[in-house]
Amino acid sequence: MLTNYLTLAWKVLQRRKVFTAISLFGTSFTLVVLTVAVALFDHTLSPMPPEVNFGRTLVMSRARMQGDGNTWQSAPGYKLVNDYARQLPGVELMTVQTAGSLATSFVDGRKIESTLKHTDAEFWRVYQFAFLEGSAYGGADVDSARLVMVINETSRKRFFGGAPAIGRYIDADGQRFRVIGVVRDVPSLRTPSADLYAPLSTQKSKGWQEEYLGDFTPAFLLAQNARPEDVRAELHSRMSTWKSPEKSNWKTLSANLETPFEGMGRNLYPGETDFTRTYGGFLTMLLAGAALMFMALPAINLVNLNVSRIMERASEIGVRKAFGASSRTLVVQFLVENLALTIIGGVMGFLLAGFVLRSINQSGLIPYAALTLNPRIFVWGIALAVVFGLLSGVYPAWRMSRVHPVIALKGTR
Amino acid sequence: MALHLLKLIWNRKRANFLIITEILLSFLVLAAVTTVAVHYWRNYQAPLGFSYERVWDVLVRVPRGIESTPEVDRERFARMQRLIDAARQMPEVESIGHLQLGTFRNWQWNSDLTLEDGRRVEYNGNRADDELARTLSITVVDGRWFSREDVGQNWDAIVINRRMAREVFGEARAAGQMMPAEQRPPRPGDAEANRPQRVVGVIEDFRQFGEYSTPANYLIVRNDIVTAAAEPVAAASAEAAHAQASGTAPQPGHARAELPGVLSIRVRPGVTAEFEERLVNTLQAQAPDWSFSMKPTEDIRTEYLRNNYLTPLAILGMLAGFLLLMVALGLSGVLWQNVTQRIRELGLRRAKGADRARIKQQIFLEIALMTGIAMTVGAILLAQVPMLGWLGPVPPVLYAFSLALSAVLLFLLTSFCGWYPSLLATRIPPAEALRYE
Repeated sequence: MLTNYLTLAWKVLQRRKVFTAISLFGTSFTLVVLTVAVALFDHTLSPMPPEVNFGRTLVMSRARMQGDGNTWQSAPGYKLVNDYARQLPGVELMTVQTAGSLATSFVDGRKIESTLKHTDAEFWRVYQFAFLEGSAYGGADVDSARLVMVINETSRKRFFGGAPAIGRYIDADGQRFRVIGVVRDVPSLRTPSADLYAPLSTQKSKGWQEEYLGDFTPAFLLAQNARPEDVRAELHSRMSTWKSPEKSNWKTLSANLETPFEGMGRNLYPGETDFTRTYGGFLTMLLAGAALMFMALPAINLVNLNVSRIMERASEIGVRKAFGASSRTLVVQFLVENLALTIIGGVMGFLLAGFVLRSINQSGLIPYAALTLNPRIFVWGIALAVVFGLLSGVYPAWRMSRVHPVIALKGTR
Repeated sequence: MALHLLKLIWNRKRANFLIITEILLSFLVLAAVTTVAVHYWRNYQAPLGFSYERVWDVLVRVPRGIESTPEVDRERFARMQRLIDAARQMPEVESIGHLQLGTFRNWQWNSDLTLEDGRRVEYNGNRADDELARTLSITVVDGRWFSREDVGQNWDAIVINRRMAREVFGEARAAGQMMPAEQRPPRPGDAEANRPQRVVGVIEDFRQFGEYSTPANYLIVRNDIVTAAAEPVAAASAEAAHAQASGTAPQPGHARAELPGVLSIRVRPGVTAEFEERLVNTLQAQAPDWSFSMKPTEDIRTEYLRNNYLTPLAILGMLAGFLLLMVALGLSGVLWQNVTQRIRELGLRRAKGADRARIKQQIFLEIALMTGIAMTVGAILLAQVPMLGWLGPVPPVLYAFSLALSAVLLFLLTSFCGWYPSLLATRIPPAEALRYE
């Protein structure tokens, strides 16, 4: 039966080449855009080195102080993390890292701008970096504020022309660091991405240990069987004991642990967010809504084309009805035909998306982006094609099943 | 004629409903894109208010965290002033000024003040020094820029842009007037009460966020780090002396200073990039634990506009373009199909004596009517946008203009789609059409 439908669909596709081309163009373009969007998300939010344990890593990306009608929201400071988020039950490992700041160096009259991230020693255990040379700094280096540095592959090329870098020196913002390790580049959309990594204690600012709000991005690696809700609950109960420092009007301090996806939802949420809950569901709805909105126009376009193509096939439908085909059979038949068409469009879109992604990689719009198509994205692409196929096929199929056999056989309406 | 055509459209309402929906959605997309494009184009026309030619932007990052005591603050201000003096000594430097929030960066100081008559005025603020107007060639249209005269007064010197002057003072002259604002209680972290502000000058504009940003009210406060760096005793006694001389009651405190975030340096023509390394090294030697990053403002601008305006606009434009292209193709296909289905009807008209032009006219008018229906519905929907306050920074007049423009564009688009089908319709030989089965 299915083979029959598909053969028929193929015949119909060949009948009016212009219409087929228009349908395929619309479908594949729509799916290119959606596939590229999915690929960008996948690139930001999938487990990939060095974030091999991405699924059980939570970050604290925002914290907030409130009091007397004033709100101060920013990344958490070291004191908040140190006083309230150390040794949380269910957390296997935690690391404190800065968001990364711009550091300027001059090499032989050339200016080099790099992102410099300050981290603790656990950073290298939470994230599994691939070392091309040397190794990471340890707890002793961090405690004694030794001026050592791990750099990425691109920085090695920029500073030393790709030659071995271990033992050589880099001047960044007036500090002289000795290079002890070289790691692979990490795409800039990922949390642990930077050009240069240095021990936390080598920061120029002095009072970072005393701040509740600052520019740190602590990350927490949960134990295998730990539940995020329990860890959050413990953090909230600890933070509720916070007392504002002397001579300040701040009343409350709040923060939460979230997956990067939930953190993105919080950032996109209009209005003030609640730190006792997460915003993953909100983001899912937002994305589904945006995807449906984007599909609406192409879908209606396709519905229009499909409806007018059905009228061409009125006699065929009439014959089938006269021989006893039920409305349901016809609906199924048409849906299968339409799905076949959109899946062909989807596969074309998937291939085209490959080109788009490659040009995004080459454009340097996202530093160190390595956007690629993988099976996960393919599954997403096919799923989107099916949604699109149903969206654009249901109404024409229903119309088709309702045509009266007598009128249909006569070929008029 | 039109009424009759409406009846024909109604008779084929099922098929036409879908076409109208499609035109409606295209109208919404087109209206959104046109509004954005027209809005940015209008913004681009407005004067920027300053010049970034031969200007370098030095971002100064001062490590935070050290317990902020008056001594520490004074030392920082003094060191900042030493940095500025050191840079000014360099022969390549034509002039140097400082700004709290640099240009072409997403650093915002949004605030509002309540006037004595109860009106609320929102503005973007900034702090700058006496030299900035010369460095960035800021056009002063009334009064003057900040100067040494503003030291030791019992008010803070401010400069506002023309738009804000008009909003606050109306047609009256703004320069030299006190800001008629209500005093508000200090915010947490503020050491002392706010002081009254006096408008010393009106500038054309200072569009910190670049050419594509929406022109808005702007207020610049004089940032006097020289006085702030001086010994408090000296400053206080000077102030007291001044208060005695002018016969007013002594006002507590003096103008509050903030550490500038960006130094703006205008260099002489023909200065090369080699100067950059020398300047950064000079600054770094003066303040080893501070960080400096330097770039031509031109480059910062290019990057800023690309990231904040041009790339999103290009993506939006491309998406909208493809959507409309798709609709255009689809619509021509459907209209073509329509014509072939109506061969008998059109043939009958031809047989009864309608000439080709009339047939063509009918097809065109039908499309125009359907576009009209879609647009009426669309206009009702789009009229909700300003009422819901979703317009954001777009002025309503501009929105109305954009809608009219997108309506014209949509008519052009649908007529273009109808062109080939109507041509097809005119080619129908009447005799054949009547026999068509």
